[in-house]
Amino acid sequence: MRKGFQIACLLLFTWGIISAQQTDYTRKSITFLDAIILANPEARDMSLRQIDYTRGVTKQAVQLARFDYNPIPAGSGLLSKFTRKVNNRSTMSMDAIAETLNMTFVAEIIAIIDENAEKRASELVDEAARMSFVATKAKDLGISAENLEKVFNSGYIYLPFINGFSENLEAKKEDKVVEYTSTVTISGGILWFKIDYIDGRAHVRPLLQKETSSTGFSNRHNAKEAEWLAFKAAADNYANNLEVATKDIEDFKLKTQVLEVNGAKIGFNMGRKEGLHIDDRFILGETIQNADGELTFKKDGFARVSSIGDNLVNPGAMSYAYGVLVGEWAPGMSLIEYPTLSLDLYFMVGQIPLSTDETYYTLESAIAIGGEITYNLSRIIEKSHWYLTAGGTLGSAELTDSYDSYLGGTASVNFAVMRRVQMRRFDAYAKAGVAYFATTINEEWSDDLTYIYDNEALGAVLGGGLNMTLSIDLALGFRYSYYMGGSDVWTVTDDNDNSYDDRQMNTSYTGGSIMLQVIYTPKALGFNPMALLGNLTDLTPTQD
Amino acid sequence: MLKSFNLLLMGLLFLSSLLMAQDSNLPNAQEARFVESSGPSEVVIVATGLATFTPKHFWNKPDQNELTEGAKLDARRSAVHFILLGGSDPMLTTAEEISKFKGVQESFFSAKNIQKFIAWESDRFEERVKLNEGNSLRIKRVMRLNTRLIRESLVDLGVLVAKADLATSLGLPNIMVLPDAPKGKNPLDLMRNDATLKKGAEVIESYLTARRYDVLAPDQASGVNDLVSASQSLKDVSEDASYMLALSVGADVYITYNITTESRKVGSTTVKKAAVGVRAYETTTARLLGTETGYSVERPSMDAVVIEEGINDAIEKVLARINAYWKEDLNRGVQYKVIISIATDYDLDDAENTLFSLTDALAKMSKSTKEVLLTDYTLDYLIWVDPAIYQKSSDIYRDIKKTMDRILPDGKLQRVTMNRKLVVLKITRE
Repeated sequence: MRKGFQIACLLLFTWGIISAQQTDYTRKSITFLDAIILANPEARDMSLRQIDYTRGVTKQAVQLARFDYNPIPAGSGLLSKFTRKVNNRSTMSMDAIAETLNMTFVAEIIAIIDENAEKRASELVDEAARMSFVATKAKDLGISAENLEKVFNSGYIYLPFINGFSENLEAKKEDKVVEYTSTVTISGGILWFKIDYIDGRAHVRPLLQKETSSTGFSNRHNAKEAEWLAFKAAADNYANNLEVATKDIEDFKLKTQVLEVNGAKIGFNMGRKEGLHIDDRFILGETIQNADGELTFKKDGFARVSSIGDNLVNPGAMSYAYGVLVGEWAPGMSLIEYPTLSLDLYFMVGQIPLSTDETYYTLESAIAIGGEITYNLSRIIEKSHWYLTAGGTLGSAELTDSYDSYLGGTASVNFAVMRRVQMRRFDAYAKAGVAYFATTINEEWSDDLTYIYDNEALGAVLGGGLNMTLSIDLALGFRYSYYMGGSDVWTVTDDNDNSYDDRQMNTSYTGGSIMLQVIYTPKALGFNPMALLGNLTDLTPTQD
Repeated sequence: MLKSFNLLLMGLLFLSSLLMAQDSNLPNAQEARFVESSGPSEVVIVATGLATFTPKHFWNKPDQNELTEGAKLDARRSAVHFILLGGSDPMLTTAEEISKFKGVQESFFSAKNIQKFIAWESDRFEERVKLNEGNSLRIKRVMRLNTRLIRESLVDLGVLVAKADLATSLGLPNIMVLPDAPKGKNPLDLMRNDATLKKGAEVIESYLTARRYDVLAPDQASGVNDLVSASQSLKDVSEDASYMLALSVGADVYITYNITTESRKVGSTTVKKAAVGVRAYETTTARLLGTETGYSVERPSMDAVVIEEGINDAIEKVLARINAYWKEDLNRGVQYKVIISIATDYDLDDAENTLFSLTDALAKMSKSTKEVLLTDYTLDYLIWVDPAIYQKSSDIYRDIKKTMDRILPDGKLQRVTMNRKLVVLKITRE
């Protein structure tokens, strides 16, 4: 297996070299085997339910609109034969799998491709060919043997594999109630194979592999439920990562030409058929020839999709994108997809409000850091730059009375809806949502005893920000947030968890906060923060 | 004084160089590739356009839209330039035409004028490359051009002679189309029995009629046997059935063709490719005027489609060569093949004297002559006559008859065959 992986890494390297002359994306013909390779003993510890779930979510994530599919008919017996052959071996390289595929599936896949070959080839007939004598006078589809061969050579097979799996369950008993915390990690990926069709003979060869790793967490009163939710979070995130990784494969990246340029707005001929989404990112660039005649590809900014043409109905329908980093753009330039997860991560530093009206007391926070994840809702609502955000801050807290000062920390968690407006490289946003605040102050009474004062409050947050895009996945800016909330009740415990009577002290979280922020758009995440938040905070039993 | 004169001269040179340096409408790239003849009056070309920005100051940057529009315009100019002067069969062939065109080329290649010849152009570029540190842009673009409009425009400008004018003075060439036939085989029989060959003839004839050529239908009963019996020279070539048929119907030019189709499987789909060889001959001499092989793209289409595509690929080039020949021949006059045979009951001296007199007479009648064959009793001549004097073959016959009456009073001149290309006469004793 290791040797296979090394070969795959080499292939991955060569695959990644971007050729100077970009060619438009042509639809690929994908065959998936409804199987998953369990590549090592840990992976074989997975339950049947876990394997089925992982296979299902991976299949769903990798089945992209840009592909045509050649499903292997259920009950053909080939799949079970293949799965037996692969899973019965302790280790298996990509070459060995390719050989097994050659022996089992290739003829059937070619037969399936053949059934739809002319239809798919007709979609490859370019504009010039559609204007030729054959199409105009002879009323022919204009298909050439080259188009057909392209269809037969556009065959790929993917096979998901898992090469790492671990589960950890911890139980904690509190007030006679057991709380289970589960952590599940899945490592694996997809093996890609290419079918070459030359002179009527088909042959499968290993292409590359994409790997990822994902962890899920869960906190439940029921051990099985905790384990399953943690597993689901890990598997879902694993599948999301593989979706982006698949789109990032050079052969599968959407590529086309810019047909219209109007200021920072560009038009191009791709759309629903290729599964385009609002706010998808595309790099613009062009081929440059130097004095020695060498060709290189020069990137020149990027754009994000603003409207999607329905080319399922009208093949000539155009989609449009707005420029973010706008270069010297002109029709004919290349447009290359830059796949990312549909979320942004915010990392902040600044201050947050914390105060009290009590006489003789001051309560304040000096510095705070924060993080936020913003989920782009464009895939659901088909409107640009609407986000669902989940974020939190963590700051210092200091309570001062006439005699002394006590240190602690203050934190907030908020959920909000955010609307962003992009003006080339600058964007502004406004958001509104709910917030939860908490502050802890420690009072060291003696060397042996520390009192811990806790205050919690619910409230709201309104805010806005201004950012400047630095690169296709990085921006820098600042935010102003106005938090509203407060509570007078402080619970008191000591460091031995002994509780005391509550104390009353006016505590306010209301006020403005200014923070600097860095925004990063990842291609993959080790875990799903939203699932983490949900699984760790909701302790009510849930049904799967 | 001399110094002042030198300064003045230098100043004038500088001014003239400035004037010369003004933007020309001629294409910068002058590079294009023929793709296909999409019909009798349209061709598809992949043309290269090159636009260059010359900065006045080092900080000036080119406007990308201007650069792109400049390259697109240059590609259109390159495409038209290719039709006019490029490739193996340009529209302008003679030195006179090229010279006349040079006088109008700036206005002809103006953006507004050139646009009307473009029937369609692709939205996409086949290639787009920045050069010269971003100051130049080279593109390649597919476009379809209307060659009929280009031709008409050049006729209006006086660069080309209108086909109608050619028709007045010489007549459009009459062309006959026949399949290639092996020795001893009759092309008409081949065509009757082979649907592919029949389709080939139909496509070529349709092409020719759309170009307003007169197409002559080959006819078996056109007196080929009479021709063969009339001349020893024809007996030698009587196995070339196409030639004989063309002569018998009076075609100026005849075209022969052969078609080969090949097929293979891609998956379960049969794809076919046609290769079509087209040859054009001068009828009077069977001289090869042009030959070209056209290929279709390999397609899963009907035979007729790939055959027509193959023919389209070849016929345009062959026709260009026929036109070039026709224009050249126009300068020499109207060409006729004259065959006169004398009955063998004349003795050799009489026959020889008669033939000498006849050759003298033919030389006087013609602008130029070419002897093909002269035997004891037969002459076979090519003559080029002034169409203003000899508008039809009967005019030639009449003058020969007058000569005959004078030199051989007891001889009788009989017409064996007479058509617009051929005059076959026989002299018998009265």
